[in-house]
Amino acid sequence: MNSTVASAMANEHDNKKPEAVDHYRRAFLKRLGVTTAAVAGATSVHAAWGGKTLGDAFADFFQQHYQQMSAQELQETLDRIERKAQQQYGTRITCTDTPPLEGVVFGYAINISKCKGYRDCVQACAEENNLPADIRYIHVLEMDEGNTSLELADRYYEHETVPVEGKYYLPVQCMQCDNPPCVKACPVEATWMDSDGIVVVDYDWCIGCRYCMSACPYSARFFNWTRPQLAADSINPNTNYIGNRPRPVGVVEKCHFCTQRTRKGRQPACQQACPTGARIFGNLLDPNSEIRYVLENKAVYRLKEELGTEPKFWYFSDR
Amino acid sequence: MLRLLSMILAVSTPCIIGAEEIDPGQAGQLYPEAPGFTLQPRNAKLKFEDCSRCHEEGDTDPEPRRLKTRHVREIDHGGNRFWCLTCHDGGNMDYLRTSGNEKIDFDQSYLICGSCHADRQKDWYFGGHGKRVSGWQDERVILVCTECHDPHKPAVEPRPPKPPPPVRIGLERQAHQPPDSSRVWERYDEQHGSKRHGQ
Amino acid sequence: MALLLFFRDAFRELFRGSLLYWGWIVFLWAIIALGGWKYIGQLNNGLVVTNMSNQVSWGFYISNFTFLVGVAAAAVMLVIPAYIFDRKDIRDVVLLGDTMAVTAVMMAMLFVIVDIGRPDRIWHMIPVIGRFNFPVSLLAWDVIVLSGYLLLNLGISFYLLFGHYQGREVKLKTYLPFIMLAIFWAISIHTVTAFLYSANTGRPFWHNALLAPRFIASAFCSGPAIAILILQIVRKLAGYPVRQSAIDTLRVTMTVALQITLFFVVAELFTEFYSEGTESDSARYLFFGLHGAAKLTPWIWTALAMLVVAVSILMIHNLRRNPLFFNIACVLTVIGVWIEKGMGLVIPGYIPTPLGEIFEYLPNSTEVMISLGILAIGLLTFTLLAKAGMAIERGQVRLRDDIEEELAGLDNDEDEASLTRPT
Repeated sequence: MNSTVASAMANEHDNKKPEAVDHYRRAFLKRLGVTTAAVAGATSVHAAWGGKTLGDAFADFFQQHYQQMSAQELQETLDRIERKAQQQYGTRITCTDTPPLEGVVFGYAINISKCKGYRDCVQACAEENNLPADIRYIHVLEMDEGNTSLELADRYYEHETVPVEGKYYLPVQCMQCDNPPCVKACPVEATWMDSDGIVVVDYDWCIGCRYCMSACPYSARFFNWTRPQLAADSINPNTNYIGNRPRPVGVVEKCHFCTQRTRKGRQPACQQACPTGARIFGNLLDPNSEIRYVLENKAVYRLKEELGTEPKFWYFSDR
Repeated sequence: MLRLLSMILAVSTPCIIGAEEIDPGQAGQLYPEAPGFTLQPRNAKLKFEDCSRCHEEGDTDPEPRRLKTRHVREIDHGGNRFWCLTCHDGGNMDYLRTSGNEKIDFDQSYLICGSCHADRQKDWYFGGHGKRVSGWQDERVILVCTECHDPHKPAVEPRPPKPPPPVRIGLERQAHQPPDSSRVWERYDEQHGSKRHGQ
Repeated sequence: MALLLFFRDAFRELFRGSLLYWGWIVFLWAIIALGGWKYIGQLNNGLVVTNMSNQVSWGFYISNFTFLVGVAAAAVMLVIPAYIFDRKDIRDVVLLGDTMAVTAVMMAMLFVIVDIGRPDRIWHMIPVIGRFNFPVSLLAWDVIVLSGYLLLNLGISFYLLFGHYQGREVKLKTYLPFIMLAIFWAISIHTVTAFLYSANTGRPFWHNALLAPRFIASAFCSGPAIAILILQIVRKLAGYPVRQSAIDTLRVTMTVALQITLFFVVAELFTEFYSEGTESDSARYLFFGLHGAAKLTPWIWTALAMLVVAVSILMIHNLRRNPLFFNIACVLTVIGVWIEKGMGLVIPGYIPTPLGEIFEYLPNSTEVMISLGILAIGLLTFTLLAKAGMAIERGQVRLRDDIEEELAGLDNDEDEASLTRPT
């Protein structure tokens, strides 16, 4: 397997458990793990239900939270994900670990005078992030000109050509709130805000209670109501654990600012796809960045600011 | 290869021949505090190259008129105030000219755009307008204005959108349309100034 | 030892019953099997077998959960008069109230389990080996209060029954602190459930301070209504002594709570509709329909009509003294609150979505069948617990010395028959 675990110890982010508890828990699980590893070793050859080996099934069940896996556990998990994708979709993928970059907090801005409603971003996101057929992280709302009322928004518009007279277009996706209500809601801490400001989800820890979906004021979170149907030839094989690896059934997912790309210095897929240059993305902590210029020089606003969620996603206009 | 070299040279060094050239690597003299950038060159994508093959230097008729050749006939820009030589350098058709009559390369066409669209140009220098083609952490490579805006017809044409989003597997899209909205003044009778019925 | 004999004897009691009893048990098992079969389908295919969507992400299961937590909380309406006001007549039936609470909490937990996407990952909530987001997450609070309430009620009931079984007197002093704790805990389970909803600032239909009071008020009319019905059934079918004064007290509680509930509905209607903004869109959807979408309006108005009829019956002296009308009022209260607090609360919170989209929801047959299966499990549990519990309370099941048991031998049935006469 050629997946890498880059500085796994750096995974341990701010909201780790206290040392003593963690040590006790590790010792307990180590004993458990030794047993399961023995079983896994003995049974790894035989495929069990769902095409998974019994060993993998055990390891899946006992898998720890991302922030509490050791380097070795994480590597084994990444290998397991690659194997699972091979079994389920018949495709070879790579799955890597992408810890957040230091000194970076991501921000996003959309120029709504330039968005024409093409939905190129929606499609690019779906392809880049291995989205199931019925989930789209980005929704472009067709709004009435001169009106900010979401009551009048239509996300299902179909026209011969866009933009349409008298309408403007507002793409909505996860706002990566700095004060995220979804993080507060989750009973198992399966979603949290990473140090680079992105709110991420550990798909293997989520229990699928969907409380976060009720808490989100932007309809930005989506649930896998069934096993995601992905076509083998359209799967993006470059995946990461905390982002675009194929997800299992019964878990919540959402836009994560393409962590597999942005944590390697690349643009998110939506920004790259936008032909009008309406999307501005970058490091909020860099005073010379494009995003900082926009936020400091344009009349920017955020959706539902009065709720105090502090989104890191702004809108602005040239006119 | 030679072409590439000449483009790079044209972009990075001041040209001694003819009009003055500006080094975009220093963000020109316009916005020295703007972050540096490199342009994705335009010259390779021009429809007609090597203009001087047909247009000899100094040969061009300066009289504003409608052309009858394969060149652009309609200029939907500037509302009839422009014609070809407004931007093209009649003295040497391989170059453009700014409003201050400086000779510039096709890769520096943004200097012309900015003479009228100054606010937009400032945004473009600083990254609030335009398209970045490199990663957010990489060296900044951006597109020239004419990459997206045809200078003869700059307005972006409407085009078909990609399909609407799906609903959950197993469910059907529901037919609820958002209501028609009316602007406040539409709810009043224009003649009498009284509110219409039911408004 | 005594404990093992207790369970053995209690278990044995479950197999003594009339034809009606066995018919009921078989019927319930049939429903459970049907629901179970549907649930297996849900486990295999995922929650796609329901009608829930990304727009309406909580549906029938959580509606029923919400209603049942209220029913569980209402057991406190029996506990308070039994112990605080020292009402002997209610002390006699308080165990049935506890049994009702235990069953309701168990059903509520089952509804949560069938609703979550990954029931195999429930262990992720256990502290230390998992990650438990307490005290920030309201769901974490809910898990604690519901589990605690279940244990508290089971513990108290077991303590009392075991004491009866051994024939020794239970000292009030010993278990009164737990009773007091149970009273406050009962209020807390429903308050926390209400806070689960009212914490969501992005959903203006839920985000108001009146939600928790509304929950308590409607719980305290539907819970006693169910208790009244159960007590009458138990009195009739099992000959269990239930004093009319006990039912009268419950009736008074139910009447006042119903009046308060309706007052809260009026307050809600005024606040939402006097000066309507987009924050009232969900309320408009529920009561009047929104832009042509109106699937819930018949439900809510039926529910409100039921509650108004019920409170009228209860307030008119001659009507409430008529057993038929009185029972009709109880049934109407239960159904009315079930609709109003269940579908009438949970679903409109999602319509329209925070981005203004209207996507309607009604449960499909799978959800209904699984819900009926869980209801059947609850009724079965209640029947079995009540049967054993009542037998022990009435002294029919007693700890006997081993010698006595052996001597009884074949005459066992005869001897026990003589004890079934009410003392």
